[in-house]
Amino acid sequence: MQIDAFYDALALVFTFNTLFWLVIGVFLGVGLGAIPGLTASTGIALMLPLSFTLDITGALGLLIGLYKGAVFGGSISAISFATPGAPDSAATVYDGYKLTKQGKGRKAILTALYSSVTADTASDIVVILVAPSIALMALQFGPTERLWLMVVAITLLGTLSGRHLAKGMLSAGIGLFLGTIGADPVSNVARNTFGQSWLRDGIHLVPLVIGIFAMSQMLDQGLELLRKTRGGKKVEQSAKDLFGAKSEGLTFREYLSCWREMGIGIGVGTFVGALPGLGATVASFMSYGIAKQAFPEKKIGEGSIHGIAAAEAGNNATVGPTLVPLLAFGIPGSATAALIGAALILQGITPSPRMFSLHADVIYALFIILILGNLFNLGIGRAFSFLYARLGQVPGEVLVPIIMIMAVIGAFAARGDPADVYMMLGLGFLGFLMRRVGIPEAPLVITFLIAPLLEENLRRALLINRGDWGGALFGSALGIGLAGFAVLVLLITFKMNVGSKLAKIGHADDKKEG
Amino acid sequence: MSFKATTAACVAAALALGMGTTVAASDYPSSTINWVIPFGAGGGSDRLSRVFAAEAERHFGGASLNVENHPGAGAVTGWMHVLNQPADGYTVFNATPTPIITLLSEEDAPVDPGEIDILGYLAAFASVLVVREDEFPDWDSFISALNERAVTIGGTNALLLGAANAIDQAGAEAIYVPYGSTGESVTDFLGGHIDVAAVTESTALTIVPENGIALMNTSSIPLPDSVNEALGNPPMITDLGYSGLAFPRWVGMHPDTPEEIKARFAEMFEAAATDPEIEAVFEAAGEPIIFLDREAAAADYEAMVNTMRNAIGLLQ
Amino acid sequence: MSNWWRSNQAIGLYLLLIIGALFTYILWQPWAHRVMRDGFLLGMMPMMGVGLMLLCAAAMIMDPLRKEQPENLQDARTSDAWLPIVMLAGIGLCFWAMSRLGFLLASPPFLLAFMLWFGLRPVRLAIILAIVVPVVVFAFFTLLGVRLPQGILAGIF
Repeated sequence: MQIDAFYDALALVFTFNTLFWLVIGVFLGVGLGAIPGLTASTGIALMLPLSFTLDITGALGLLIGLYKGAVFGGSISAISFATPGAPDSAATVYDGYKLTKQGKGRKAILTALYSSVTADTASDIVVILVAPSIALMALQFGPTERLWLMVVAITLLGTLSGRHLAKGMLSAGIGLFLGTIGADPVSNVARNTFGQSWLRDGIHLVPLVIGIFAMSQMLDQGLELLRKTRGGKKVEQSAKDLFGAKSEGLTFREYLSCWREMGIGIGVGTFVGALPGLGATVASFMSYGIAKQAFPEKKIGEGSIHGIAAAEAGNNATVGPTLVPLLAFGIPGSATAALIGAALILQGITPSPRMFSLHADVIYALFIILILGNLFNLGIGRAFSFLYARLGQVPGEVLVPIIMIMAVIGAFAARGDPADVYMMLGLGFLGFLMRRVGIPEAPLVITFLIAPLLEENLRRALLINRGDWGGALFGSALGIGLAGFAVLVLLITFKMNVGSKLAKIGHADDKKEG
Repeated sequence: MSFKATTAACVAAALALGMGTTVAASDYPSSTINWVIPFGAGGGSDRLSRVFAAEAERHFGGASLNVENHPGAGAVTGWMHVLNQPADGYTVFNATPTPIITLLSEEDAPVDPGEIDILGYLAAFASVLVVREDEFPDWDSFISALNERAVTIGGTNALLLGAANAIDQAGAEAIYVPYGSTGESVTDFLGGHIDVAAVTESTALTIVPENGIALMNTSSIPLPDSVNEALGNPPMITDLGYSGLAFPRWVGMHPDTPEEIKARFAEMFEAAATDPEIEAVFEAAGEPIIFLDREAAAADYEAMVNTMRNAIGLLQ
Repeated sequence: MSNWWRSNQAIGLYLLLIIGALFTYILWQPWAHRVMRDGFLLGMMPMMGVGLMLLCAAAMIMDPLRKEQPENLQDARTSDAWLPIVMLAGIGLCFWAMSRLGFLLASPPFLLAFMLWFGLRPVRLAIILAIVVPVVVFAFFTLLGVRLPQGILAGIF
């Protein structure tokens, strides 16, 4: 370690200027992240012009603070309004919103905040200590290995399917189908577009998540409100009085009890973050799925803080590691990393392996900002949770129309394509129908994300191996190992879940017939 | 926008409405020019367009340049939007090869790539083939290897077109492995999963010289000297007598725009793109301006479309 | 069996018909049978997706849970189907208006209509909120640098 460079970095970071922009960054990040459709990368893109006018540490403080804040911020609206602020907090909705309905919204948000910050800090430390080794490990992951990683993710579908396996798989089928709309990954020829040219770019993840999760929920709540007005069935108003000062917080013991879920999140998030092209959404769903699989006794998915901890630790743990390929090889692993890379280039620093020797002070400053950002996230995140808690008291008659408008803006703002808004509305109706007939949403999102990646990597592996399936699937020791792991996960799922499900069903049938 | 400018814009709009589209070329431009890009906010094209719009206004007779994002349909939505606007020179289309590739990949494309009048190039990136030196020390050994065994070349769809075009003319065949992003293809190259990476010059700079050499520049337009030097002066495909393929950030207008307006715009565009101050800003952004004037750009564009038409067939 | 139409078995049957139609449609498309350079059919993945859906719909007709009724469907009425469609149409209309008139002119009528529809009283409160909320949202987004559609008010800003 170059001690001089480290001291230089300390002097760079601990200035009013840098800390000021770091605070602004986290503040904007949490605020933006909590608005549906405005994700970390949209936020960074918006702030990029401003960052050009700042010095290097100010710019890094602003952008990294924004990134960290935004990844956490998404969970606030997921928990308060069942409206994930970004796709990566969609997995948080299940337990988070259920807790809100039980009057434990504050506990849920605090769980999200503490697990986000814990996982973020832990993964940052990993990055600082072993960035080059993670990067080298990521290099071992070619198409074959990535393909098997996707298969492992797919095997988690079983756990996310709920009690009716056929419905869960049906949802997965819908996701697979929607994910194939657009251009063929190898030939770039349009497929499955129903002859509509506006479908050529495929369905974007942001309108999909807003539609399936947020809009469908608002339609449901709108219906409830209408029933209530007509003097029909009395519906409990859950949003009111939940966030009063007396509502339940999170004890230190409860926080500690989530250590396994946070550990899973840190492990999955750090690794998935370091691989190019996967991202925080995959990490949070994987972490959630693994935790649900591993600890059935914790009732994840039924309003458990452990589910929130797993999902939120998973997405925030990707923040630091996303920068690993950028720092180690100059390759941006995600859209957000590319934007941070662009900011560095504009400051005259080209991200590449040479950065460690040429600009060691900047690298250390970046590391310090990564850690410091978590502290600010903790403080500002807390303040925001209470602000949103107040918003949660707004009655549904007011809140539902406003969230509907926000969903429209969010779907539009993500890309600026009006077709996305109509798509979001259509998917909102689909989500509404799915909820009515008891088809879970999670498998849809998983296959929508994973299946195209699986297909791409499979076809790449086949191209590289000249069409030889054996070589494409089992061409490396790592590939075989991952395949074995996938089979293991599948076996465990089958034994534990299907076994107990069948037993339960058999029981139910006995009762009915008996 | 200042009050004065607002008033001016309102008056201009009122006049334009009153007079229909018969705007005199002599007072062009008299109001805001809409700078349409077919990509969403936040991407590379968006960033560069916004930088250009902010810097270049003084060369456009004080008219402000307003960047409009019209993404969708493989970047063709923006093109359709431009064709649906009045051909009065107040809507400019600034795109990359992406919409052209979409149009050429479709069986019944909504427009022809020729339905635009090219008024200049703002930049032209190259598809540079990066290899490991011990595997392929030079182009000749590379071509002979291609004839002996299957060599894998990875890159994004557009950049693979440049590679396929070059290799096809050399009479050889390779396996083209498409990637969604440069990040993934470079990772696979560094990890040894593919033999060759087809990358832009700016990405090549991050790989060369530590992890590979620049084997060939498959572009039709030379790279800036500084970039060329940093890449170890790779040979150009055009030196071999083959046609190259450049990936321009091109600027065009509705084909029905009056000639005087097009000429006037091309003039102002040239003044802006060759302004040393603006060049310095782009240099700092890591995307130096590679300017081609109206005539040269239009000629290169036509050749590019023809070359791509053939190369796309190789990748389908 | 009067409520059979709400059971999983019935839902499976409806889905089987809809998805079957989709499958037939794709099967009839010429693009689905086009062979790409790596030997894959262009329609392979979409057909896998529809195939999986078809299989699951069939499973729903036959599996042990077939007689059960989904919880949210037990007290469903016909208005549950058309009211959301009306809501979505309203939102779609609002977005359509937004792209022409601008956010500030299109959202107050929408908010007012929906707040009153959902039962917010007094009317005065709804009117005030419908005007204040869009202004605050617009100001906030403008501050963040997101340009919401300005529409016919474009000249003012």
